[in-house]
Amino acid sequence: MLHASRVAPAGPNRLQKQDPENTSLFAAHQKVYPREASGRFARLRVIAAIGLLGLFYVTPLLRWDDRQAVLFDLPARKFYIFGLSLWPQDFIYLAALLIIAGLALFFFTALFGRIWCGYACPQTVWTEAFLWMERLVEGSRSQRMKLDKQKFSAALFRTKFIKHSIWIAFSLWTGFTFVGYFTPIDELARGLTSASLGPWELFWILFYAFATYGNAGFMREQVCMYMCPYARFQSAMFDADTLIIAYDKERGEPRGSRGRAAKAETTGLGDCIDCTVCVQVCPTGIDIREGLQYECIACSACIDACDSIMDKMNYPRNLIQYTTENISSGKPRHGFRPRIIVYGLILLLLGGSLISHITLRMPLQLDVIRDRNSLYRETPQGLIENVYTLKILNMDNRPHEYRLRAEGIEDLILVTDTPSVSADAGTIAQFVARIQVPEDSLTQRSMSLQFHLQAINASHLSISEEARFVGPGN
Amino acid sequence: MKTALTIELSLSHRMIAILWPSFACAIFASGLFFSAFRPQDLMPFDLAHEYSSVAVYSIGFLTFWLIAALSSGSTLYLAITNSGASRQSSSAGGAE
Repeated sequence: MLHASRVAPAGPNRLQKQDPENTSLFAAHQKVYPREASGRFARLRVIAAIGLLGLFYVTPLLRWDDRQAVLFDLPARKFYIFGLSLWPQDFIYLAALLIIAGLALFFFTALFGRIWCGYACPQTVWTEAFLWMERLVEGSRSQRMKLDKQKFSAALFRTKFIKHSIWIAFSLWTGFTFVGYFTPIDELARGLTSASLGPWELFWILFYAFATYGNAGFMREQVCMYMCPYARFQSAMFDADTLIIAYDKERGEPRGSRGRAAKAETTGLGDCIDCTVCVQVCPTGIDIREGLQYECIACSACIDACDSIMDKMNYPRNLIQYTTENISSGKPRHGFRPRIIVYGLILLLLGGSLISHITLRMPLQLDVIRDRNSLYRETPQGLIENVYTLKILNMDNRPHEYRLRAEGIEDLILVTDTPSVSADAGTIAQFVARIQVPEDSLTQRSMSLQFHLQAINASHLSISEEARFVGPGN
Repeated sequence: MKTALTIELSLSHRMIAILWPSFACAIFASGLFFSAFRPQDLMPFDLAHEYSSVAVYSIGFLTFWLIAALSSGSTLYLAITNSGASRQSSSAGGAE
């Protein structure tokens, strides 16, 4: 019987004696040497890692029109995501996007368990990449363990030096790419080659490189165990129908080693041959046979490992497998549970509203500021005049020309220096407008009027803004 | 159940417990703060030319990180020094 929502406590139960009076929060760290796993899920994990790493390193190199396609331009306070440019006042979209991403994590966790941890989390993906480089230089699991027990020698130094050099180079490239999301990456490359890089750009490249090197090279599974908040609360999203990785105790126990030709009837043993390969491949160093534990990141390396052993023994596969608590205890499974429906509906609602808001977003804003120096002025023609400063914010990717109209007071006259105003893509155009009104039209001391701005070459770009008109009063 | 919580943390885990949550909070705080205020507006006029906006963002972020780390550090310190085990060990004459 599996208890998905009641996971075993943290590492100490394995590694330290537990005092019933005192519960220690953290265990002493023992280095984990994950053995390479191969099989269908390992292939899937490699494909996911290559795809995601590729996405990270290639995205800042893409171009859109004559700028970087994805650029979070902090100095200019504009975010470019392909055709979309976001301004500080669009901060709400980013906040909504984060909430949606959080909800999506809830939804997919309830359905598929820790699929994020096993396949998509940057910590997992970069650790995989670093492990791959480590294997390339230092060899298999047993070779690495032997190497770390060796006394210092020139050969050991050389091996370690090569590994760390490759790690550091890869980390620096990662840091460079990361900063390339915030500073145009071609500028960054030029600055680097001509040694004219700004001190802060250099600082952040080194900072991110150091974080990559530390997290993927050294901390690894400890990030999941001690730093990741998701790992702590993910069990709250679990129910009896959530996909988990589990060992089939009924079939496996009693475990024990035996010859390949041994018959089950004579040995009295279960299908687990106690080869411990499932433990050796585990990147967090746990034994899945002890039940579901919070350290398990559901990477499925143990499934591949166990399947390969079962194949060698000519036993059926799936002694360790993807399953759910309900399936493994013979209960009916439920696809659509209230939890899934609620998460799904909220996700659909928020996602739909974000998409419709972004597509219907008016990339135009008009600010009207009334001249505060004088309340009003009388023209030689005997009209009452108010002066306004108008700011047009063109948030579109193209330049536009706009025509201004005003209404709301009888017989008003709008006077501008030019018949139309133009604003380049992503800029603010400022101009002065005067409103002149015959005194008879002013029924109150302060009246409201509306400015309407309309782009000449794009009919869908129009905006209205209200303003006050102040006169002598009756 | 009478369970006293002893927090026995190695130095590296203390550093993680202090620096990591404060790092996340600093990202959140700088995002919120700098979407409301432009770096140029925060600087006296004569200094505005000396620091680029990237410098202001960076210093702002690091300041938020420092402040949040002070909070995390104080929380951890108070939790450790008030835990049952420290009281027991100090009354028994043992140093932490």
